[in-house]
Amino acid sequence: MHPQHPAEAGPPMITARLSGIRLAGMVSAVPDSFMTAADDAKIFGEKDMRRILKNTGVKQRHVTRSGLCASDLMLPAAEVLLADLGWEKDSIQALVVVTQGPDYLLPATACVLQHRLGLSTSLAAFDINLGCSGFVYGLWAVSSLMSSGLKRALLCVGDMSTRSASPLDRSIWPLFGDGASVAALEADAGAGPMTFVLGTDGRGAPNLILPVGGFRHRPRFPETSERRKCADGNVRSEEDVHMNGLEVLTFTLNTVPFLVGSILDAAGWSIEDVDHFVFHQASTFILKTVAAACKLPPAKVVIGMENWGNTSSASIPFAMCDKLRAQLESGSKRLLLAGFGVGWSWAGVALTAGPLVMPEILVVADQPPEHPLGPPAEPEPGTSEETPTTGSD
Amino acid sequence: MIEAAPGTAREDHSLADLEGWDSLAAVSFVAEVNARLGLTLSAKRLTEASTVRDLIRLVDGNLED
Repeated sequence: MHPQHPAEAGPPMITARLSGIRLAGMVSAVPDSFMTAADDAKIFGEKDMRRILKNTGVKQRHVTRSGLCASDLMLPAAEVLLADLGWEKDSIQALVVVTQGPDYLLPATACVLQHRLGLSTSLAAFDINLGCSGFVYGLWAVSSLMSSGLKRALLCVGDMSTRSASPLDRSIWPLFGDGASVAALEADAGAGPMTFVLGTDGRGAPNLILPVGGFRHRPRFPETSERRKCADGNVRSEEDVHMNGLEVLTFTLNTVPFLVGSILDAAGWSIEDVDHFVFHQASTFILKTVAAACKLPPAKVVIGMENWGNTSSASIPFAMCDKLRAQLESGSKRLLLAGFGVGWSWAGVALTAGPLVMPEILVVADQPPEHPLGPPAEPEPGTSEETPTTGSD
Repeated sequence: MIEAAPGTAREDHSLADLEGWDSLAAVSFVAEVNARLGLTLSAKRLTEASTVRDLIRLVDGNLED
């Protein structure tokens, strides 16, 4: 439990140190529809909801009611960020989307988003399937790519987690919110190092899982879509996400103190050197428990999920946009970011960030696009749109 | 944690019958043990506990390790 000595008893982790890449800007976005703890109390009862609220610390979270996709939030977020940065769309050379809720099983959401954003076709684009650890993994992946000579890139993260949640599952429904964030990165020879630590342990896969929908179990059979009361007392189907909160907490307590210690060791920093610790916003209770286990000063641990909930891979950017915007817009801060959860997967980074371009959190109309793959093709001149007929009047 | 007055839970109490003992209470129990004793209990073994005595043994066993 001593972050200063991670190698003694913690899980093995890899480290990577990258220089010359600058985090230039960041923005987050939510749908305009939301639910409050009072709404949840109607489902779970006042008494239980008081206890749940004490654990989650989530007073409201944004919840799509229309079937919005994460990319529908990434699109306006990226537009606003690029405009505020003053970056030409043609200058973006890589677009990486981190999500567990892709628009389609194929093609990659990043490919669809490249076209919707009007970015150059001279661009590398792909998806990464990660959640809680996804922002830091994405930062590492994009920075590594850029080290090969790219100038500018966008990292889009986020999920519409409520779309795969049972409204009757109290371990999930009152905790998760829908949201997405976009970060802009730029090559800058003067940018200081980013020191990453990453790890994986697939033994944790059953503890946070959406069992049906991939190729292992195809969706929409009556036996997988029927919601039943489960052993943990929650009501859900196999097509709803399942989380074993107890396993998540013990995994977190067994991993994060060593992750934090490893990052500090690798960066040559002490706890005192860090201005802000921004962890995956798993739940307020987990954040406070982890902060205590790591012996971190509570004032340095950012908790920014009261109005957004747990927003999966976007939760670290949401906490930064919500709680650190003024500081990061005007100056630079030494940050330790760490994501941990679904996989199990974990990743952390020590970096000096700022000043950043950070537009206000966007509230986007909860209205899916009419043509998410782009407008229908115009008919070729001289061709007829009339349906051919075989008979005559 | 279970919102019961101190001393009301006996060692032979079944957790299933203990009012307020549920997944939220179990999570709080793990956090409390971690904060007070620096131990992280096994989620699997905690799930297998059926009485208050099992919880005590689980913590005692970890302390002896």
